[in-house]
Amino acid sequence: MTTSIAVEQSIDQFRDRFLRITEEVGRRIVGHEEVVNLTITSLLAGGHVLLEGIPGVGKTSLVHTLADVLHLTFSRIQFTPDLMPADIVGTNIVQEHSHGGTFFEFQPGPIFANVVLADEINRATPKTQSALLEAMQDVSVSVGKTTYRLDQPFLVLATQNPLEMEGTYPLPEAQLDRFFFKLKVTYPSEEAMHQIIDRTTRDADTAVTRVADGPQLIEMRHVARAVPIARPVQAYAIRLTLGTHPHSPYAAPLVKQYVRYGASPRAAQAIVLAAKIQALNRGHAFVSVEDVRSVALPALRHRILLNFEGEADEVSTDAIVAELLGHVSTE
Amino acid sequence: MTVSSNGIEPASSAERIRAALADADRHRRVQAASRAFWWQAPVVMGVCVGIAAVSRGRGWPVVVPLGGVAAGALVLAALFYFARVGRPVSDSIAAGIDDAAGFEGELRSAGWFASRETRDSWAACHLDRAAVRLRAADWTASYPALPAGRAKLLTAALALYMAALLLMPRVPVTTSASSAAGEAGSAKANEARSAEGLLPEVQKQLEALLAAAETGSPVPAGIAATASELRALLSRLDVLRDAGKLKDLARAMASPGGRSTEPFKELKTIAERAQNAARMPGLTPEEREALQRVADDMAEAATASERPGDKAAEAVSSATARKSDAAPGNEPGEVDEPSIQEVSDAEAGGGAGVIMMGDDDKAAGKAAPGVGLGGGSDTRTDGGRLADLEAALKRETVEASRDADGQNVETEARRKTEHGQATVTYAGSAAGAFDRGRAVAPPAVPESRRTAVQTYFIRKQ
Repeated sequence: MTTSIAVEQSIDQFRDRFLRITEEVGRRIVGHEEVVNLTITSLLAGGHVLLEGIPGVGKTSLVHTLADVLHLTFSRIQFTPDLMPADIVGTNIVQEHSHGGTFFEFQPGPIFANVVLADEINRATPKTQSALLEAMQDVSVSVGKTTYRLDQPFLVLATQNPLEMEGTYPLPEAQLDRFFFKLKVTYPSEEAMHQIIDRTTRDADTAVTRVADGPQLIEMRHVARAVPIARPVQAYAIRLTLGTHPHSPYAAPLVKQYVRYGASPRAAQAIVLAAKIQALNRGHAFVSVEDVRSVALPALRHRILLNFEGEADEVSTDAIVAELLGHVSTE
Repeated sequence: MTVSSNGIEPASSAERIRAALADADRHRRVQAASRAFWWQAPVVMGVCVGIAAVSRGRGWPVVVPLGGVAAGALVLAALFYFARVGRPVSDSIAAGIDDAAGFEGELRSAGWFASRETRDSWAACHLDRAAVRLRAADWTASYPALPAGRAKLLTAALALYMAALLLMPRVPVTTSASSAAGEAGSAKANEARSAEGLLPEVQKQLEALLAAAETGSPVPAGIAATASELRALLSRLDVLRDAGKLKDLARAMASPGGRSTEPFKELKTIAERAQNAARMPGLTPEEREALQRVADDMAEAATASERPGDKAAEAVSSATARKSDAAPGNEPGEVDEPSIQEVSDAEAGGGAGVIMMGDDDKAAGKAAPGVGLGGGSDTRTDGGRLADLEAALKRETVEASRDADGQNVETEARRKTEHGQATVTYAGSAAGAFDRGRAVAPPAVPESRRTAVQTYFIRKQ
């Protein structure tokens, strides 16, 4: 079998698996196709997702379903103000030998899972929030003098509610930057509401099938990283990232007016990697400008820090990214 | 060696992609050149028609417009030649071709990878796929020939017109033609020629008419006999009321090529005769007035032609100006009355008006009424106008208000001091001690901004 044929098969296999995962998740999650698509994209890219939406729109269900479909271990952490870092990463507890004497044994916390749902992450204190930093970046946790590796694939899906802001601790920029995508889960449409009610108020079977497992996801990650990207297309992704900085020559007028700090290089990495996955999902062996544009918004929206005027005028970072997409030249 | 599933070697795929891009680029440039050609062809042909018209008017040889056509054709041919010359396809051009052909970025990306020396299996697969897809590409469909029907039609029409200009025999310019052009009143030179051309005919009719009027004999045949015809003649003479035309007429008559060597005498005679005719009974008041006017103008023109150079023209101008509706009072002795009248009309700040009238020196008084009012320049001779007076009064009022003591000055000084640009200082004031008991709280956040401030301090993600 030639190399080109192998590449063709890899593309087809990737696309087939991606579609199957999406379809299977769609059996339980009504609507939100784009959110599902981008969550799987983030999983395949090895990134983490911040889901934002009002209560009851299916954020937690989506994470549950994803873990079920992918045959991955799942744990849920409900973030509260009194949650401590040890409650997340685990702690050393004293054990007793059978022959007498005691010793410390590490008791892993809920972070030791493939898919971790950090529910209402902004309700925990910054100290506890920061316990996730190492896990999200290095896929490991340190307790005492020991560092423990987390199992791959590792995906943190954090949720936050945009309405109840009192008693919350907004995520620091360093932590926000570690989220691959920030996805907004919107209210379902009328048609989607019918389907939700039909599925949840009848005795219908909403069980999902496991269509992929951890090793298959790891393989898909490698395939995604092999997709070639032409330098001019990569340059466009870089220009988009640089354009979020107010002093950049690519900055749009809204950026110059309302942005204090722009996106970090992690944003460009996220855009390119996600664009590669989008290209494969469309059956392409190359990355196009359209692939880049399709993932720019979720990759950039949470990495843009507004200035006072932007906060006071309640400017949406989505509007800034949208203007940036129209402003930055693709050539 | 890497071989694709469809048997195309990657190297040949890359070459095929490069060739396809070059071919597409050539189609694109030819279309762009065609578009530019049909935009410019009517313009070039229009210029050639203009050259042909000028050369026809000035009697230049036919080679000149034909040379223009040849130059235009050469430029357009060069445009086409350079459009067809092959050149490296840049990424932006490849992006444009990709967009035009609907390749969804594949051709652009493949074009970049095809220009690389080394490529991995994924890039090779990408090139193979693009090469296969390029087989179905139809560049003539992506870059269709432009119809440019209107441009072609316009160019052809202009070409025909130019051919007609070049081939039709040239008609010499006649006096009647220039007279007709003068009646159209399009150019001053034509107007001057009109005055010259009109003179013999009008003078002849006028002489006959005056002779008949003086002697009381019947009007000769062919000369205006009825009141309406006389009115028509006088209306034709009305052209002489224009000072410029009278000046031209005087010059034409004084020139060596003119009809008479002593035109002023002739004009003076006609003027006297017109004066006499105006006194004759049997004329309507309207005709009498017109004859009187003609007599006055003729007399002025005769006086003007007696004087050398521009003095004649000035005399004519002053004669005309005196008859116009300009404000009276050009004489030095009449300065004060109209000026005061103008100021009283303004009705704004009587005191200011009096101040402005204070400048009553003779030079200004001689110039024109109203000159110097409101600080206006005394070089103006067209008299003071209400708008000028109004603007001057407004300026005076604003200046006066700035000088006044009170809240205004204090506010201005404080504001300027705060900005560090003060021109006025408090020389007699001492630095005040800070009294904590009199300190006031900072202004409350306006209600309209309160939500915004709260939003800022309770930040959302």
